Amino acid sequence: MKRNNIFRKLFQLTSNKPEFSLNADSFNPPHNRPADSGDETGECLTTSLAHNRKTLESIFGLPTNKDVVIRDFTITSLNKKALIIYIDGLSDRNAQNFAVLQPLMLLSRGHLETNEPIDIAYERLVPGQQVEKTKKLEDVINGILEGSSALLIDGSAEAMIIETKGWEHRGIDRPSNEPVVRGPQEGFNETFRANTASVRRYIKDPKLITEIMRVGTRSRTLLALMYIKDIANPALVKEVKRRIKSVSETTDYIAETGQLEEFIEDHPRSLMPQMLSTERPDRVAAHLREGYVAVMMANSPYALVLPTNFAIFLHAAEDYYLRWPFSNFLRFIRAISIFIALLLPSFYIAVVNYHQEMIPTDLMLAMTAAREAVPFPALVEILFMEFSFELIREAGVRVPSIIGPTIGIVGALILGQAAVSASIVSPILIIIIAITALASFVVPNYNATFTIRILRFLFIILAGFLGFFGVSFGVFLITLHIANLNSFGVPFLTPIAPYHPQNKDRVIRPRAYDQPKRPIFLRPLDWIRQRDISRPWDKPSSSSSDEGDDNYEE
Amino acid sequence: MGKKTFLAILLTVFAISVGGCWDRKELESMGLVQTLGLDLAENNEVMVTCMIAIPSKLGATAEGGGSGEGPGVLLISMNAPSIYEAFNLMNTTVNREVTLLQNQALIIGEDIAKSGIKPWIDNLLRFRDMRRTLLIFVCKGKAADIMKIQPKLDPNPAEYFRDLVMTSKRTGMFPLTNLHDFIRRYQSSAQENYAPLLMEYKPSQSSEPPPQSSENGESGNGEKPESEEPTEVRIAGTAVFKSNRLVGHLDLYETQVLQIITNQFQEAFLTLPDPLRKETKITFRLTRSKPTRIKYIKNEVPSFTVDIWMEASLISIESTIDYTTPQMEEFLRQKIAAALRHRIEKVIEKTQNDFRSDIFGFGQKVRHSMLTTTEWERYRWPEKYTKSKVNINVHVFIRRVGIQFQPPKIEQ
Amino acid sequence: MKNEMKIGHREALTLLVTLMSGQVFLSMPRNMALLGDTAGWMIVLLAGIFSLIGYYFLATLLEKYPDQDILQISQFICGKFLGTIIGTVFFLFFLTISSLMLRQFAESFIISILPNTPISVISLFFLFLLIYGTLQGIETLTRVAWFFGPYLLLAFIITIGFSMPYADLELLLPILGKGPLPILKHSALHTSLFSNIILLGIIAPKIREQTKTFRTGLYSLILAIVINTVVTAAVLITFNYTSTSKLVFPIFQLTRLITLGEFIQRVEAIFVFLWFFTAAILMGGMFYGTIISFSHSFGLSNYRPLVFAMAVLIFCISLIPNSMTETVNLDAFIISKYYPLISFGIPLLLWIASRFKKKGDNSNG
Repeated sequence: MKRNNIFRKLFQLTSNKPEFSLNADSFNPPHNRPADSGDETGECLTTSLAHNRKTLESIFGLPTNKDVVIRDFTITSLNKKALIIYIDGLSDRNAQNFAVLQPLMLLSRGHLETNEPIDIAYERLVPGQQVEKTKKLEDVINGILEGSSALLIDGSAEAMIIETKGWEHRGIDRPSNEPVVRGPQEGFNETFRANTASVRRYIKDPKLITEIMRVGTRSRTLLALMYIKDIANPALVKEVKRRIKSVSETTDYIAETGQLEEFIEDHPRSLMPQMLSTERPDRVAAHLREGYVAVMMANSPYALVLPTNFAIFLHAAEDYYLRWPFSNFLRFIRAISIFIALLLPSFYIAVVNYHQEMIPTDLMLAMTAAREAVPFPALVEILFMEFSFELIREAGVRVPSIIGPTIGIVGALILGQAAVSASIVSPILIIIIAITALASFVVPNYNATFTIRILRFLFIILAGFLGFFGVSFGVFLITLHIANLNSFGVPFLTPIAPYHPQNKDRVIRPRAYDQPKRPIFLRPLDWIRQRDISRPWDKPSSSSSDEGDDNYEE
Repeated sequence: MGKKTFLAILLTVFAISVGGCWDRKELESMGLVQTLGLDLAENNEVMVTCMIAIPSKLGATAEGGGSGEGPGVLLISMNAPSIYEAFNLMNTTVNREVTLLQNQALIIGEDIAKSGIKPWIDNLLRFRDMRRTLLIFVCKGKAADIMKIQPKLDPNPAEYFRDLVMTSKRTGMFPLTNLHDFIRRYQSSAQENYAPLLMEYKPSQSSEPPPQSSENGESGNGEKPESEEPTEVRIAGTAVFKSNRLVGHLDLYETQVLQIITNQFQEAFLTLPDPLRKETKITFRLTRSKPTRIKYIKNEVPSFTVDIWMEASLISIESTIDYTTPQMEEFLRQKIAAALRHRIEKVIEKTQNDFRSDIFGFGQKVRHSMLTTTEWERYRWPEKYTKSKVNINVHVFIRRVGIQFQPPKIEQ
Repeated sequence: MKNEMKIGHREALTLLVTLMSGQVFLSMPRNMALLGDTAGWMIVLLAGIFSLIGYYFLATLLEKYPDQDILQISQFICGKFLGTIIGTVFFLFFLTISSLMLRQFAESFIISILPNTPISVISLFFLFLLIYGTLQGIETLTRVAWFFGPYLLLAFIITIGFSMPYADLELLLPILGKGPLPILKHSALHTSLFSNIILLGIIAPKIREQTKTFRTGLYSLILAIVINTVVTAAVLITFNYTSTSKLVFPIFQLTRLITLGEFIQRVEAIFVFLWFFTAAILMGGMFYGTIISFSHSFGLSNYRPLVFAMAVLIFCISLIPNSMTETVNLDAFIISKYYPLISFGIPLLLWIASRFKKKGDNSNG
């Protein structure tokens, strides 16, 4: 220890000040569970206002913590001392002034005798639209942290939590990452109630249930679990609740639905996303109506819809808003794009390095002529270009918006043109990379694009190693993996395998009026969503094929 | 997967990849053979001639394109006991790996064809690099000499050959033979082999006798001038094989007959002497109407009835006789049918007597009439072909007369 | 151990069809042409009809004892000791087929697209897939088979369709080939073409709809017969019978002929892409059969530990034949004579034994 001190003093060039170090002597490794914020107190509310006030001050760290404000006053009609405690910035001052303080201080006339001042206040004095009485200190703390104001009256061991939430937030905006041409242009934002309300606007069904839980011991983030009670499979709902509840106490901070996704998904190490995360309320509503379950969190504009299947790669929000031929055309393009995005570079490598006979002679001579000037083998070229394209992509996300266009120019010019002129890559490779990149943007889900981007590298290496044999090997391996993946009990390849003839929405979308049953694989409670003849004005031509699905026994 | 599994997989991958990628070839390390030529060399060896493409001259985007100095291909010949050993020998001077991946054509020299291709046919069959979609040619003289000629219209000689052969659909004057057809005919005794015949050809030399007209259905054979460097390649007809030897050739008009009977004929122009004024000519365009039908009649002497249907359209009338009336058309029809019949009979006679080889495939019909292959194998068709009788029926229909009815007349 | 996963009958059908059609990529058409000249396809057809008869016994056995696979049935009927012996015979059967198929498919890939790669690398890749697939259970494999099924069929159709320009239907004449008697003899001897149907006996308890087992097997057998016959005939009409009997991998040659205009030529590598799936599914099924027959005949509860060991065993056995010709001879002519005895003979014997057992039971009570 002494030697360390000498060395430290020797190397301090500036001053004698002890440097800041995290190695505090009082550092104690924590226990196994994250510390609860409300655990140490073990206290509760008493009838003494002063005592309650002291308790709350110690919990919130007042007077150091300037966020929390306590306003003492006297309730005129009861002639008792009271206080409200709230967090500045989270509560709406208008609501507090006019709905809490003014009625209690100014407008309460007369003289009321009571033993339970809180009851009187609850029933007659406080005109707030959402008021809750509670004896538990925990609820008071949670309420304050949410933005409500807590009213404590001297002489009562109960507190009243008055809803006064209001803070600065982003309005309802276009969904930034899931744009559609034809369809609603509203997305989720960070406000919890705005999100749940958005979904409610699409499904005006009294059976649409929103269960609220909190996750994270310190973050106490609100989490909404939405489902339609007489459609969704109760076992599914129960399982989701079970998983969420069990992880809500194990960690102290769960920020966003993305983080939650990792906690509750079946195969966290797999490359496939097992939940659909979407920014659009119409998509959530469409899924709820089929029997899925949606999970939303406060401060997160992304909702999770679970379970999901391979459709996450293929189905977009717009598919049902367009007519049948148009959306199938789009689906077809999307299906081809997935293959292009995944396999085109590896096909190129396989053909150029192993199966050169496939190239037409003229093209081959041109390519050979171009490649003679390039010093690198084709595999190195492709990896280099793919990597630089990923660089461009990632940089494009992080770049400050002012110099955004510059990146486009830099990317196009430098990496494209100059690389070719400098004979680092051959021109046909640029075309391949460009087509691949475009194709990978066609995938309609952000998580899914990562799968494809990562797998593409795997395929390039396999192709470079064994040509088409390697590519087939990779495809088969991935398919084996997917075929085994279960997302909340639903196999990932449903409804292709296991095959459900009644769920025709696989790659090609069936007609909107021709889908009488909900997805069987969810085992919903209520099967039927359309009558058999759903276009009654057009009787002769409307029909719905009704193959018996023998995979589901009554 | 856990750490251990990951490590195990990683080690396996490394262990395997240390061995290297066995089949990986870079494009620029390959010498692409475009055309292959086979000739007989001494000591029963074969002289293999390769045309190796030079990508920087032939590749479209490289500077200098196809108009660079010198030929766009590298011609190289080597003697070796077998075709593939010749490639090894070539690699003593060619710095790229000689590969047959993009090979388009195979030219068999006259000498090797005459002495029998039996020793070499297995070479062509067995090795994986030889594809059955190769075009086969036989050439007069040595293949190496033919391959020295640089065609003018197309810098890449292999493309030239391929496109040239594709034009046979228009003329019917030479057949299209793949290695697939070649081998199929080789292995069956029902039909003998034939292949287009290449020769050197100097286009504008006046000392060359002009190709004789199609009046008698003969010749059309241009002889190679002894002097002067030939500058073009020309297809001179068909080379006819018997079992595995070259026994003769058919010229261009005789090849048309071959194409007609084997159902490969599509269209061609035909010039006949005008039946009413023998010194003038009348030209038609013949198109195949219905497929040729061959019927086999089983007798002591095998006999066949061949029915041929053709459509003719008038193209030009030199004498000003008006043939565009239905009666004249009827008259003309008979004449055309007779002329064609005459031509066909002559060719069949030639194959029966001179070549003794059934290149038309009459044997196929004989085989179809049998019930088991053992019966067919006992029958020994090639010996019976010379004695068989062939009756030809030609049905010609004149459908159209062009865009002019009566020919223009000068009022005298 | 994973919960009870069930196979849909459509998936099982695709798996069985792939199992019985995969051999068209190997030397099967050539073997048939060698035996029957132009009537090779007839041999296939007749062999298929004979195997339909043999299938009847297997199917009735499975129907009589639902939810049990053939090994458990044999133990039930014949008693533990004899049943174990029968199970061992099945195990050897599947083992042989797996190894020979692995060897042949690896050779086919080497000959067609990767000439310089050592065979162990290709075998290892296949084995990796087999291990991974089997560890997850047969249901995964059937799902993958159903997923790829239509594309494989499409590949067949494209292959045959695009080589039609070179085809001549008359090459099938003379129609009786070597004569009716040799044809009948060979087709009776070669019902081994369809002996892979025995895998139905192993996966039967897992099929969700037990009532559909019979129909699944029947349809799959019929479809496989059609595919095999059509492909053999297609090869015969493109190359005449003398050529076909000399080709190593006839379908490979067929794909080599495909020419569409000027620029689609020499595209056989794409078809390799699809053959790989057929090969992998076929071997996956057979591998599963090996493992289950071993584990059920010896009464092991969990088969997962066996997977790695069996893979190594199969790899070693597949390398036993010295050359490709030896493998083809072994598979097509020497060993395959015994396959029908096992895959059709044993169910027949069990069926007969089950009639006796029933009678015995009836007489006792």
